Order: sequence, then C-alpha cells, then structure tokens
Amino acid sequence: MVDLTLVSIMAPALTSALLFLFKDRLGRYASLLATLTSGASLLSIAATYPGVAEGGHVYSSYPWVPSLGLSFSLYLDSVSFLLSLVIALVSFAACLYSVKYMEGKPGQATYYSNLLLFMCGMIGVVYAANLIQFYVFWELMLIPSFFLVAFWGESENRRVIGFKYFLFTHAGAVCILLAIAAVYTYTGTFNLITLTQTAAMGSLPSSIVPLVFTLFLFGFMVKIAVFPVHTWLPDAHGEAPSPISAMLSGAMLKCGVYAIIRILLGSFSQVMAGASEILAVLAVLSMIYGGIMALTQTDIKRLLAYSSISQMGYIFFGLSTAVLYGYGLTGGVLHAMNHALCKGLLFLVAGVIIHQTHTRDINELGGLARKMPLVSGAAIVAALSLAGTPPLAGFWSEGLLIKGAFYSGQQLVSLVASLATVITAGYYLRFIWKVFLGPGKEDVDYALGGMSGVSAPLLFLLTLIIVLSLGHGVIIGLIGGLH
Amino acid sequence: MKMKRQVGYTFIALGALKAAFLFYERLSGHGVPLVEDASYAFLVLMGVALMFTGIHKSIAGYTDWMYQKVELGLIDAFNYALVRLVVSFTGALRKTHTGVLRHNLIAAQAGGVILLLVFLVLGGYL
Repeated sequence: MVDLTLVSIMAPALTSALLFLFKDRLGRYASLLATLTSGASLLSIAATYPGVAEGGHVYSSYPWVPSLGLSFSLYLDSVSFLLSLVIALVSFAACLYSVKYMEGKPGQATYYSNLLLFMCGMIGVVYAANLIQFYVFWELMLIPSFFLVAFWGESENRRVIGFKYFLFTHAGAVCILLAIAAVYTYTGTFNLITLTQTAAMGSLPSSIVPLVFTLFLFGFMVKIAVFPVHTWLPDAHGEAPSPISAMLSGAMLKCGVYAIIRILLGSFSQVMAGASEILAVLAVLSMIYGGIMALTQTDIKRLLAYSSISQMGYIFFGLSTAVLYGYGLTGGVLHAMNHALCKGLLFLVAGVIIHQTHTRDINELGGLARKMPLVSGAAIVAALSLAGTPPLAGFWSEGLLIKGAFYSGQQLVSLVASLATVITAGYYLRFIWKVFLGPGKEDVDYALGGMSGVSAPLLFLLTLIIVLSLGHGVIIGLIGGLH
Repeated sequence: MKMKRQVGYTFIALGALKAAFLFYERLSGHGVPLVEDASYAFLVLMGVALMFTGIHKSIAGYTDWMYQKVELGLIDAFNYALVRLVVSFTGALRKTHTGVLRHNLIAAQAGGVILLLVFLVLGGYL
C-alpha cells in the first residue's frame, strides 16, 4: 500500500534535487518535469480524501532518529487535507504558469528546483506530526522562497527585500524554536498528536504557559503578516515573480493558519479562550489597516499584497473566536481556501497584465475587460469573491467568521469587523474599475500572444473558485466534523 | 467624477445584493445576527455617501497620509533600520576574518578559555 502523504512530500523533494543536480542538461524539460511532479503531488493529496471523509484521519510513521525517540510521522485529518489540497492546487497552477512566464529566462532548472522545494516545505508543515519535523519543514519553506525572491525578483532591490523577508520570518521561527524547546523540556515529547489530544500540555508550569503561547503566537503572526509585523509581506510579494507571489500569498500564508489551528487551538485552547478578545481586536486592526493601505496603492502587486494582510486578518479573526464558537474555525478554513485560490489567480493575472502593458501602475491601466476578456473575467470573479459577493465562497466564509464572533459574545468587535468588509469591497471595486473597465490605452498589444499558455492555469483556478462557491457546504461539513 | 459615480453605483448594488442574500438567509431560517443586517444596510448607505458627497476623495487623502507617515515613515523605517543594523553588524564581524590561520587559532584558544571560565563560574567552582 503506497503512502500517498509521503509521496506528496517526497516527489517534489526528489525532483527538486534532480533538477538542481542536472540543471545544465535538462534545458526546456525542467519545466515539464516540475509541472508533472507538482501535478503528481496534487493527485496524491486528492487521493487521500477517502481517509479523512466523515471525520477520519490518516497516520503513518517511519524511523528517523531512534536515539531521541523521533520518528518521521505524517498526520492527516480534514483540516490538514483541505489546506494541503489548496497549497498543492496553487503550487501546481503556479508551476504551470511558470512554463510560459519563465520561458527564455536564465536559471530555469534552479528556479523550478527552488519552487518544488518550497512546495515540499509547505506540504510538510501541514502533514508534520511532531514539532521537530514541523520546524524543519517550516524553515524549509523559508530558504527556497528567499532565493526565489532575492534572485528572481523583479527590481534592483530584490536582494535587500529578500534579506528583509528572510530576517523577519527567521526571527519568528526562532521564537517558535524556543517554544518547542520549552514544550519538550516540560512534557518530554515532540509528538503533536499526543500534545493536542491528551493533557500533556498540563505538564507546563502555569507561570510559563503564557510565555510559551506568546512565543508560538509571535512566530505564527509573523508568518501570516498580522499588523504590526506585516511589513515584509508587501515588499516580498511585490518583488517576487508573479507565480511565486501567487504561492507566497496563496499557499505559504495558509501554513501559518494551519499552525495556529493545530498548535494554538489544539494545545493551548484555554489560553486562546482567555486571549480571544485581545486577539480579535488585533485581527480587526489588521483587517482595517490592510484594507486602508490597499485603498491607497497604485502598484497592482502591492495592492494585492496589502489585501492579503487584510484577508489574513479575517482568518485570524475567525480563529481567535474558534475556541468559544465553532463557526470561527469553519469560516477561517473556508476563507483560507477561498483566499488561496482567488489571490493566487489575481497574482497570476497581475503577471499577465504587467507583461502585456509593461506597467504596474493601475492609474495607467483601464479597459482590459474588452481587450483581454478571459483574463479580466477570471480576475473580476476572484476579486468579487474576496469582496464577499454572493453567491461566491467569500460571502459564506465572511458570514461564518462574523457570526462566530457574534455568537461567542463579541458583538462590538463583530460589528466593527463587518464594517471592515466595506473597506474590502471599496478597494476591490476600485481595483476592478481602474484596471478592467473604462477607456484603455491604444498602443498596447492586449492579445495574449506570447503569454497564450497562461490561459490554462487561470481557467484552472477560476473553475476551482466556482466549484468552491457551489460546494462550500461539503467543505463546511468536512470541517464541522472537527467541532 | 464619472468613475467615482460608477464605483458608487456598484457599491450600492453590491451592498443591496449582500443584504438581499442575508435577508433570504434570515427568512429561510438559517439565522443571521441582527448586527449583520445593520452593517450591510450601512454598506449600502456608504455607497450612497461615496457617490454624492465625495467622501471617497477625503478617504483617499487620509489613506495616503497613513501610508506615507505611518506605514512607510514609521513601521517600515523601523524595520529597515533593523535590517541595516544586522547588515552593518555582520559586516563588522566579517572584518575580523583575516584569513590568517594563526589569528584563527589564537581566537579559538581565547574562546576556549572564556568558555572554561563561564563553566567554572556556573558550576560554582569560582
């Protein structure tokens, strides 16, 4: 019996190594090999669905460091299945998009090697069943993504921006490592399943529980770019090549969401309940601040990046109240999935627009809906979904998030959060009107021409957004089994 | 002005659509908090305000100020100062790497002595 969870992690890892070792010989086959591998990983993850349907889970373990009692363990339940699925979907779409986007550019094999390693790291975080493995994959996400930003970035400042991104994320990772060390010191185990499903965390002295919780929380907050530790995100997402921006915003941020669900909600539920109000206020600040910053942006990629800060605020808002009322967890995961697909698509569209119009300034764009109907249609659907337009998935997820906060007793905060949706609608409508509607420039070749190969990943993501919108009930049912 | 009016109209349409769905949810028995109905009514009113009173322009000015003064001038400036500090510290550290083996051996011996002293102090022997 093939362990599909292991295949989904090892396939991109091994292919990444192959691409790096034979980078001079592969030539144009590098993109084909990378795309096939990411597709195989995606199919492996999708095939694990029967194991997690109806509240089931999948667990596998392999010897790793027997002297320390460590095994390489993979755990899959409905939340890790859903988040790993969207990570793989966005990564596959980004890989497919890169075939045309990176055509003719130098260092393609190394690029795809880093991309696949990045994908491997993200899926490994979501499947990790012990804290050491979790940390290894957490750092494995950072290193190839640093190279992708710093060496394939789009401006002269890419090295500085890459370094800033590395510094921020690594500072958060160091806090996580300190917290892991503290957990092991007092509980004697790294096993996440033991820590979340038994009272093992009760072994921590009550005096250091808030400190350990804060260290974990800080590390995860940096990863999901909650205000005020958010400034690395607009720079990194704006600088990276568009398919990598799609992965950073659409996939990597969801690893932070997963970490909060698995570690903080799973092992520190009482602390989460006590800190729920403060975390909800922080989340709403992030929602509003990210939205206000997005309102003022004229750079298309920075607008989408600040939008990601606001959207992650929504998800954090749901998770902050999840302990008190289950809608927060359901809404948070559904919103995470919707954001992954929609924002991934929007960044890919931004890449097409920048390539065809040679500008990132939305004030110089306009009328793209008539000239690039497929690209524009896909982007408008994605933007409206994130703006919470019914009957798209964003409407349902936002409703669940706000309902969860309301029923958990935070009526004032939920009112402010629902008002924040006004700001979200505002900047997405501004984006749609400025970029896709109105008069356009006459001297621009709007036909996709050299970028015609990008239709497939855009259509792929658009189809998934529609499927998610129509089938959100299945997702809600799957997550609801966790309550 | 034309674009602002179009954005305003779309805002109203979006708010009305959202409100309609929420009222449908309420009528079909799924249950919607009253606060959400009020907030989506506010959404519609916001669209009207944006269209007729030009609030959008003043909000745009305010958001520009926040971006320049708070985001770039305060938070990002602090972060880049941290980055420059780390880069200058590592640069200064790099200057100690003379590449001369004798210097490396002297530094290793000095480091060993310091470690020994620290352990002796921590162990209570000194």
